[in-house]
Amino acid sequence: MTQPESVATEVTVAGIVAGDPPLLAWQKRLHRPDGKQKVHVQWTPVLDQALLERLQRQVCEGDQIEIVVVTDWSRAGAPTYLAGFSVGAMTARTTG
Amino acid sequence: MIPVDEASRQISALHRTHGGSTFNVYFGDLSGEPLYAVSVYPERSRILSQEELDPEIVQHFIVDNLDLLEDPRNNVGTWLNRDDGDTYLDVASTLPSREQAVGLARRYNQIGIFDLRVSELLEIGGTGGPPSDLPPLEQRLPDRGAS
Repeated sequence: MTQPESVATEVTVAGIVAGDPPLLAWQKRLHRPDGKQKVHVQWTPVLDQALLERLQRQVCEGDQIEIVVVTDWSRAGAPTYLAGFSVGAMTARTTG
Repeated sequence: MIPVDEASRQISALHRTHGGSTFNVYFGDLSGEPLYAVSVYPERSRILSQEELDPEIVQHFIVDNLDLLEDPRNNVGTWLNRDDGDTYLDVASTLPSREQAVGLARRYNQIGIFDLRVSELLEIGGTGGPPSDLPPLEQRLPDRGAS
């Protein structure tokens, strides 16, 4: 995979982890084709300050939102970041 | 340790056959083993918009997380979510003691642990949110000698 990959997915917000960079903590209940389930937890860096401020204003723990996560599998560490989110009809995205 | 390219091929095949895998780079496929899985490294989790898991991606994930996977309690976890067709990757820790796994999961505010013997989620009541006093990655599992 040579291009950064963008995935949009509905998740439940678990919090915002302070740090450099700050991270959006989210979780999602997954169902395998055989019906088995588990809960996936992921912390995704929020690199864009404006996006972080919108998250802090508009999102609370437990909210269901759609997020857009970009991952660059061509680079060491497969760096990933939050590229956008939407709460209902409201959409916020990075400017970069 | 299983060579990384061989481990990647096996994980990719398990993912294709079963829709997921928990794979240890020393012991191989852990499904059906009397172990409980806990996720304490959520910053290492990744999501992919594909059902199939390319061995090259798995190899990349293993190499990127070798610092954690060198501990034989840590494993590559993969899961195909039938609801959206996306694949989820994480570094899952496994413990033989249910009590210890629940204690660890509570320590990190996890929603549940996963019983690999019967492939069932055991919910313990956390939220998945960040704990207040999160230790660095290398200090998140108990000392190997701890009971």
